[in-house]
Amino acid sequence: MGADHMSTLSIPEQRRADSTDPAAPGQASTRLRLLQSAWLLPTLTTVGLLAIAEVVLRSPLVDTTYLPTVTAVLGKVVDLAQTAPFWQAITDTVAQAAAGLAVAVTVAVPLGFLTGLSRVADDLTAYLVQLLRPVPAVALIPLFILVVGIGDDLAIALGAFAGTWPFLVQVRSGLSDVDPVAADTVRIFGMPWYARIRWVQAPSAMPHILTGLRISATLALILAVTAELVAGSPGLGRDLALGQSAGDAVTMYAYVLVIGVLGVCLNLLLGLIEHRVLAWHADRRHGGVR
Amino acid sequence: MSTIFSSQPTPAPVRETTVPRRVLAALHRPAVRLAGLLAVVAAWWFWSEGSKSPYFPPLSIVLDAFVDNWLFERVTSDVLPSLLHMAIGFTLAAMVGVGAGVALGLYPTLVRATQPMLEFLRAMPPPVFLSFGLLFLGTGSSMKVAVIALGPLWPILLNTLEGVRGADETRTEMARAFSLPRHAIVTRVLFPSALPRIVAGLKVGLPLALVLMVISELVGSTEGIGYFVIQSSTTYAIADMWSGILLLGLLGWALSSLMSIAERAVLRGYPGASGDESR
Repeated sequence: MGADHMSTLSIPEQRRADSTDPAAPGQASTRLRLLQSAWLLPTLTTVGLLAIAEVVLRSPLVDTTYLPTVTAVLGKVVDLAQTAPFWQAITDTVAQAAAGLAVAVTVAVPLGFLTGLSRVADDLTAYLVQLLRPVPAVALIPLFILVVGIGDDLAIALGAFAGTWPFLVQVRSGLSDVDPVAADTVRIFGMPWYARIRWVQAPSAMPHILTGLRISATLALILAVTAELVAGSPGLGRDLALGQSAGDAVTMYAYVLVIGVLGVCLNLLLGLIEHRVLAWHADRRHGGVR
Repeated sequence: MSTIFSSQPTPAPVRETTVPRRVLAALHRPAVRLAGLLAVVAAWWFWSEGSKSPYFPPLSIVLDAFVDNWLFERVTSDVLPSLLHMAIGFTLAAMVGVGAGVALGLYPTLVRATQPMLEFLRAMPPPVFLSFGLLFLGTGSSMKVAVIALGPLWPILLNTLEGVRGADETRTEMARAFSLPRHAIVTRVLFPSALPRIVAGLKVGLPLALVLMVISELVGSTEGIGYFVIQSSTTYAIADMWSGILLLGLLGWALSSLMSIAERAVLRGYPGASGDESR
C-alpha cells in the first residue's frame, strides 16, 4: 500500500509539465499566443482600468477628497514601506492571525479526532457544536475586551474562537469519510487502529482538513483585522481606522490595498499548500477540483 | 469525496446488527445528543451560580436579563432595526451578486479580464468595507446597509459565476441549436444549472451579513443589537451584555438553520445536492 501511494505521487508532476507548456503546438503566431496566454489579458485590463481611473480622478470635475488618484495611493504605499511602524503593523496583523489559527488548530484537532473516531463523543458534542458554530465571533468583542483588553490577545482570541468550529467540523467529517473498500480492506488485513488512522483515515480526511484550514485561516485574518479596526488592537486595521477617522483618504486606501494584498497572499499560500499536500489525491489528479 | 483508493462501485457493507437494535440505536442517538447539550448548560449554570468573577455572572441572572431586554422591551428599538438592515443588505447583495454573476458568466473573456480584480475583492477581509462606509456615508442606516451588502456580495457573485461557467455544455449547445432566445437560455438553462452554486454562495454570505451587521453597529451607532452589546460592556452592565451575546448567538443559529431548510427545499431533486461549502 505504501508503494502504491508512492507511485501515484509522480503522476501529477508529469501531467503538470505536459499541460502547462503553451509553446507545444507551435502553430499560432507569437502575437496570438501572447494574447492567449493566461496572464496577459487580465494584466492589460487591470492596468488599463487603473489608468482610466487615474485620468478620470485627475480631471478637475471630480472631487478627490475621498477618491484619491491611483498614483497617490501607490506613492503612499511606497512611502509607508520605508517606515518601521508600517512593517510593525504588518507583522502584528500576520502574527495575530497566525497565533489565532494556531490556537484554533490546537483545540480543534484533538477534539476533531475524538469526535471523528468515537461515536459517543460525537453524539455528546453534536448539538453543542451545532449551536456554537454559527455564533458570530464579533459578538464576543465586548466580552473579550473586558477579559483580555484590546491588545494582541483580543485579535488572537477572536480568531481562535472563529477558527475552531469550521476546523473541528472538517476534521470530524473527514475522519468518517472513508471509502468502504478501504474500510473493508483494513478490516480484512487486521490492521491495528493506529495503522488504520495513519494510512486510511488521515489521508481520507486530508481534503476536508485543508478545506478547514482554508476557512479557519481566512477567518483568523478577518477577525484580526476586525479587532484592529473596531477595538484598536495594534496592526494594519488600526492604522486604517486612524486614517479613516482623520479623513486622510490616501492613507486609508493605501492600508486597504495592503490588507487586500495580504488576503491575496494568504489565498495563494493556501492554494500552494493544497496543491502540495493533495497532489496524490484522485479528485485532483483527474481535474476534479478546479 | 473519494479517497486514495479508486472508488469502484461496491455494495454497502453488511452490518451485523439486527433490526430492533438499530431502531433502538436510532432512538437513543438524539437522546445522547440532547444529554450532552444539557450537561454543558447545566455545568455552566452550576459553575456560574457561585461565580465571583465580574465578567462571568451567574447564568440565571443572564437569563433574567435576556427576558427583560429581548421579550419584548427592546425588540422595536434594537432588534428590528438590526434585522431590517441585514435583510435589506443581504437582499441587495443577493440580487446584485446573482445578477452580475450570471451576466459576467455569459462573457468568458470578460471573466478572464477581470479575474485579478475579482480575486482581490474576494480576498479582501470584509470588515475593511466599514471604513469605506464610514468615510462616504457616515454612521446612518445607509452606511449599515451598504457595509452589510458589500461583504456577502463577492462570495455570491463568484459562486454564481462559477456555477454559470460550469453549466453543462451539451445543454447550452442544444438550447442554441433549438434557437431559444437568449433570455430563455439564461432563465431555463444557465440559472437552473448554476442554482446549487448560487445557494452555496448565499450560504457563505448569510453569516457574513450577520457579522457585518454587528460590526456596523459597533462604531458610531445609536441603535441595534451590536450597539446594545458594546454599550452594555462599556457601562459594565455585564448581564445585559451577555444577554445580547446570547441573542446574537441564537440569531446566528436560527439563520443557519433557516438557510439549511431553504437549501433543501430549493435544491430538491438536484443530484448530490448541498453544494461547495469551502468558499
